[in-house]
Amino acid sequence: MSSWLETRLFRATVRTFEDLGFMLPSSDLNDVQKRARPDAAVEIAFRGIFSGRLVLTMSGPILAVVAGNMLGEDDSEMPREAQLDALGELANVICGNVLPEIAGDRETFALTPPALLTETPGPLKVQAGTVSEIQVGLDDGRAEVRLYLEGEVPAEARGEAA
Amino acid sequence: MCARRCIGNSQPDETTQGTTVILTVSIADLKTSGQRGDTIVTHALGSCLGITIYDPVAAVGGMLHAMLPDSSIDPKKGLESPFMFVDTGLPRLFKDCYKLGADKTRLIVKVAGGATSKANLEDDYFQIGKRNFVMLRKMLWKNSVLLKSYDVGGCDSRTMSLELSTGDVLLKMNGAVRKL
Amino acid sequence: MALNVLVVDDSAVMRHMIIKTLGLCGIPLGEVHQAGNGKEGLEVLDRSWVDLVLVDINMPVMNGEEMITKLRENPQLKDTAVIVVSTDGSATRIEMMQKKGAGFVHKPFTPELLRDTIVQTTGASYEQLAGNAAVPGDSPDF
Repeated sequence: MSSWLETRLFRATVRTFEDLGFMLPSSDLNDVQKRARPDAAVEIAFRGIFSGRLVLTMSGPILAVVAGNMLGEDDSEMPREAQLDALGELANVICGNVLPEIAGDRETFALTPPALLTETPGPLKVQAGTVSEIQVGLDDGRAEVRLYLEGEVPAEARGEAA
Repeated sequence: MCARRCIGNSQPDETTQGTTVILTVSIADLKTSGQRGDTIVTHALGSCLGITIYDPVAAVGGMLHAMLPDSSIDPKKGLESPFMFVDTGLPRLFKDCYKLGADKTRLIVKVAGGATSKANLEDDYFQIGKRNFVMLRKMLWKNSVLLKSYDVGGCDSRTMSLELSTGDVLLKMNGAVRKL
Repeated sequence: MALNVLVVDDSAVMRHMIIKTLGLCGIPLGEVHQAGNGKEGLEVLDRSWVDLVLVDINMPVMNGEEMITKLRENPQLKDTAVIVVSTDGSATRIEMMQKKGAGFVHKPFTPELLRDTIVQTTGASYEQLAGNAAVPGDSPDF
């Protein structure tokens, strides 16, 4: 894993939740946040100078809260459809913001629409390609963002000296 | 009925300079006024937020100086000192100005403060200033209100004033004064 | 004169956020149309008069870039005001959109930033905003 990559992923995640979700994520998780059970996960694939995918998993009772905040409505009445739509949009925004941070702002990427995952991702396994993961605490839950990169990935992102 | 309302603690909070009456908002305090000659002012905004609202037609305005974002950490305190928290103080700011004749659709909302005492932002573990501003933005969005302008963050203390005759909000930082 | 608006985004939540912000801009709104992709957006433009289009880039079926290109090729629609509201922060893409005469708002945005761009694009005076920064209604707190 590359701390260079994690820093950029963390920054894009915090800004997205702060501006769109009206929530301030924390880097240190409390016990409630650590124990929260996975609720839903979504994946965005991208193609450009390098390709890959980003997976956003939300755990605990926070998806309704974030969706309610985005819509400016009471979260207790938030339909599941709106919650999952909000999840997809958050993943889309995090992905769209982290890619120029890695590749530089002259590169363009094509992103697929968010695809809901039927199973939430298990523990991170070492595999081919570059993988980075961060997690942040949000109220009584947490968000995990995992980024898989393949192809011409910058040296810094691979954890090597530039 | 006098249109001026001075709500908050019992400290001396009203002084006169010529024909201008200065209403001073303390920490965890709220002042509203419907008198054109009044100026509402608050000092030493660090991580706290200074929030002003102003109706230019009714010439009614108010200022809240809130310390913390969320009263859920101490609901009893939220009831006893609602102006300490953004989530309990903000509704009072609006409602008290409505009582003086302000109309929600005309209100101009401005905010300053939310600074950090840490030179390096990443050392600010509790991020109170940032949390205050996020809570404010969330409540405004939920209640269909947008900010007209804001000056938040950084490391410097701010003094904020609202002139009831014009609606001008002045910010004093590091000795320089500018209009917000 | 009231402004007819089209909001094109594959996220219903995002369309709601944009439409809510439009309502808080102080600009008199007429009809507000919605579409889930560029193709649906062009269909709306084909049957309705629209003054302002707010469009995402990454969408299924037809993306925003293709939709704007087709819109600019149509003599009846080519002068329509367009604002791209996209997560794509690439300077290359922003320049491409600007060449097509579109404004740009980067996601994540604050409602205030989106409002300022809408006002700038439509030419509404800043003073108009002062009196319309909020809407009345059943707001929960104040």
